[in-house]
Amino acid sequence: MANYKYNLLKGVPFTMATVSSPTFTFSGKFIIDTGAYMTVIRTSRIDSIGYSARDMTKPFKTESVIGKEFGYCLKVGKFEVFGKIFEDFEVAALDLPDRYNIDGLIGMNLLNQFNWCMHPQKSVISIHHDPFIGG
Amino acid sequence: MRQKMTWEEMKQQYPDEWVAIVDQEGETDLPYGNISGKVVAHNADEAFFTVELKKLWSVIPSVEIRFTGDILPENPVGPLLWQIINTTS
Repeated sequence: MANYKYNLLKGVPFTMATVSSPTFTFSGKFIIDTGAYMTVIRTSRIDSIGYSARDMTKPFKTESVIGKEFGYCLKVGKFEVFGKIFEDFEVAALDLPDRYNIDGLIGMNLLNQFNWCMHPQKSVISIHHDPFIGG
Repeated sequence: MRQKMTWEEMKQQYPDEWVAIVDQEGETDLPYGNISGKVVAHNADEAFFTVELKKLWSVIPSVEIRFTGDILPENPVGPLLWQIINTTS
């Protein structure tokens, strides 16, 4: 098991993640969002590492209290977070609203690939690397 | 070559801007960790910032991206609920 610190901002947990294409790599701020099915990266950031709607695997539409949002899914070369690297990982490119100056959301399509536990009082997330436990 | 700056210096020099940082040191694994590094691109306008990032492709393999202003609005309820209803098609 390994522990990773995260930051709380306005009650929202953030962590750093690194996203790579064959062209470029960036590290940025992502919300750990258990209410999100898909991992989301803001469209402009997808653009900045050389991907576009030409790389779409399927359209993406989501609905929330603030309305419907449209984007597209694509596979990024690498998505690295919590000491794990996910290759050819599918994310959704979505325009995030103004004033949300984040790089994306880490959703359940990533979080459900290993066992983990959040410790809010310590701002620590524990990741189980033991394959018999999951991870 | 650009000089290394602290995070506080970046916030003062580039307020409310996106910044791309290289050679970063310090608490780089924390989204709000105290870091220092060299700013290789910056812009308040995200579209222009994206263009600046693309200009780095041939000279720099990777950057860390931060925003020097407020990250979230006062009531950041929206993103946490965004995909409870997921309608991928």
